[in-house]
Amino acid sequence: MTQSQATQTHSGLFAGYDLGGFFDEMFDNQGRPRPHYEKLHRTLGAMTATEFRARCELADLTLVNQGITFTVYGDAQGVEKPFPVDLVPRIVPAGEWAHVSRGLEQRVRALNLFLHDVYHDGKILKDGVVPRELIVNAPNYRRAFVGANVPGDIYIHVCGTDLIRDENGTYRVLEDNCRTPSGVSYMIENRLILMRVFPSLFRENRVRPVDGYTSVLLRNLRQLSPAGRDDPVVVLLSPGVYNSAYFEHAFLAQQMGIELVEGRDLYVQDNCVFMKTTQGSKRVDVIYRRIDDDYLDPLAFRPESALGVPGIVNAYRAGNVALANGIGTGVADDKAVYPYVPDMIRYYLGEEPILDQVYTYCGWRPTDLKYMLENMGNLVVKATNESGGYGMLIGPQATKEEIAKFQEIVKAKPREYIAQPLISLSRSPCFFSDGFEGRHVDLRPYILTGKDGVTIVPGGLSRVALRKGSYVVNSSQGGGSKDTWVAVEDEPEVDEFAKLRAFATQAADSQRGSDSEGVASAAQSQTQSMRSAGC
Amino acid sequence: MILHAVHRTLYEYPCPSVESHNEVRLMPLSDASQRCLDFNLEVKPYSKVFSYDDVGGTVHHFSIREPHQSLEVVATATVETLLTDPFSGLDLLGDDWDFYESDEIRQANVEYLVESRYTPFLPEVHEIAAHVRHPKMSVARFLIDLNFHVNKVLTYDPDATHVYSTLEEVVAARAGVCQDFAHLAIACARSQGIPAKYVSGYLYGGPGSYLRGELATHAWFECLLPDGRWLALDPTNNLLAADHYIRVHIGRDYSDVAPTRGVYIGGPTSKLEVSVKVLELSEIAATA
Repeated sequence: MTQSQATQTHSGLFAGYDLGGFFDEMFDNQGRPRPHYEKLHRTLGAMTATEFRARCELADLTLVNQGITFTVYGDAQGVEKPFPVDLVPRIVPAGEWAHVSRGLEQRVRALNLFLHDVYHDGKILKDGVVPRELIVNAPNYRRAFVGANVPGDIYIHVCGTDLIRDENGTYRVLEDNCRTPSGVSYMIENRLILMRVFPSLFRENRVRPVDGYTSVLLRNLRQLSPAGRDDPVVVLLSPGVYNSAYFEHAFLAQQMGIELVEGRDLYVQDNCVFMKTTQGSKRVDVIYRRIDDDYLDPLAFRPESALGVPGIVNAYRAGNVALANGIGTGVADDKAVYPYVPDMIRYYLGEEPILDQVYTYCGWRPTDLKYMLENMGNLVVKATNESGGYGMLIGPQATKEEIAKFQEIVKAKPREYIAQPLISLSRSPCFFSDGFEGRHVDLRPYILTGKDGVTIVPGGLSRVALRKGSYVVNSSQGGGSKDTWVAVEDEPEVDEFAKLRAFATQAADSQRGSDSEGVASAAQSQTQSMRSAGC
Repeated sequence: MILHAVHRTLYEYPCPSVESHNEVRLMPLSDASQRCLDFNLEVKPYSKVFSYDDVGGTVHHFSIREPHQSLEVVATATVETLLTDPFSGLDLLGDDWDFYESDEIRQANVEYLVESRYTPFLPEVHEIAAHVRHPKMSVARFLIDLNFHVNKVLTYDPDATHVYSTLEEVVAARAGVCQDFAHLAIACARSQGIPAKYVSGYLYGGPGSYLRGELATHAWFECLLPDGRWLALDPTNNLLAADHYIRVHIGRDYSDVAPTRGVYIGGPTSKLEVSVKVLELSEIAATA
């Protein structure tokens, strides 16, 4: 029985699929598809390579036609590249997602409270929960912003938190991105592409939509408007076409129906921000800025920066314009601060952290330092100060010389290094010319915070390391992405009855018979969202 | 003592400048050692002036977007200074360094303990600190000796350095102005674990006297003593700062306190004039 089942599992495009000893998103450790993947596995397994390749070509064509690209710095081949999408979706069951989203909401609430605290009374620092030196000496701490108040005390309006799953499938936070996180446009576009090339999958599986993201973001941005400015002018401030995320800036501005501007389009007068238009000047109330603090305002930060708007930080401080995200949020996603986030959650919320993170050894703690130096070959060592030139060491992949060299570096400046065990990221099937192979994935959900609270669009961007054996999911280094599905509700436990019912549904579907109401409405919402995006 | 300070800054541009955005840190502090009784800021061409408080004092800012060929900023302040005898209560004998070993003290003052852009712990910094420090000496004694020693190591020479000179350049030249004296002393104090702040302000020399830094903005430093007070020392003049010093802004180093800072679109500045005049109120009454 087990034997025949295994054979069945690895037939068709899944033939020869190797779990490689990793936690696989689609299969359990016996090689059986997990319940929430059963329909997808069956459909994909029944396809031929030619058929799948045809869908890939259609997807590629869509990417090129819609100009979904990213920029690789220093690439002689041309600046713009399409962002590779693997067409096998990643599915997160509803129960799992409920846990993840509760954990993310808790985490972002704590991070916002932390930022308000460190830019005001600094209670958490005085109480010694987070060492004060890690904050006030951090490169992204904005001393000049201490005491400034921001609308609704919200600093992180958009947070992109990177989650990984370890060898047991446990979700762990790898890092938070609290400054100008990118990638959400790929989350939205991936869904549109999948709905175009695999419409049938959305009839078989009930998937929660992601296209509400831009409406929630726009609502939140509008609510930041200064008092008395009831019909606010909201703009997206981009560094310009040479920025790697320019496609996304244009996409989001277009989706939200707001102006896409660069620094030279704005100016400050009488401590207010104005936009130059063909009809004259227009006061700006809310700025979704995709320029980092350093380049935002040459008066407040780097004086040589030509990308920003001089005086904009003082206008923000005075409450005459709102910025999202706020100033100085980089201390919340600092690598040296990450180890303290669970304590922050306990300190501000009086709750236990819902989501795990990766255990972190801190060079400034004597016992941790000793462990780091003795076990460096098994650890990933990272510099906390990004501007440090020595970067990072992946112990298990490093030579003895590299490890010895890094031990010296860490010994010399222990306060600037942290270390973590190497986590084997979970894998998910990806298509390669004639079949599926497992590749490592992470998940970046986008967490929106506004006056009405926290909103998380179900799913996020699943990034995948397309190079065999690689853990690097960055788009600039051979990474791609996947559509991420959060199921409307979990499949019932696998039992014979459920299997029979599943077969019955499939049979009905193949005959184009009437589906259950739920399935039909899912298919309908999909067409609507495709139309609304104008593709 | 009631002091009256007038600080005038004039920029001239050969071709018209536009989009000039400026921040100035010119208003004297009000705290236990002095009270700012009156402050006025005048900007030509006329511009609306806004202000906010940062960690080190008050910041005023203004923008001039229209073309202009000169920019004049005049800050006028009346300040009552209260510190008559800085030596009073100083412990010049006991070995009190263990105060700095407390993690609580370190954490509370950590931004004033680390190296910064202008205060790196160069080998020369360690040499000077080691030369001055003797076993069993008190912290206050060490600082007074350090102040004296920095005063001797550097020659006062306004042409030797400029506002962006690094400490490497200063120690190589063995010369500089008040900014350089203060940075060198701060680096030496911090290298020994003593929290040290950079102070910008004005100095009143009194009728007939001539002190360095009197005719421009001055700079000195303050250190946290084991008794909890901050002792202000002026290495440029080898003095402890008393009521003839007006404190304007405080920071980790010069970059936190720059009296004027701005960006504009236009050609280079052809002329920059800075003048500071400090008088005691009785002198003003006498001349009036």
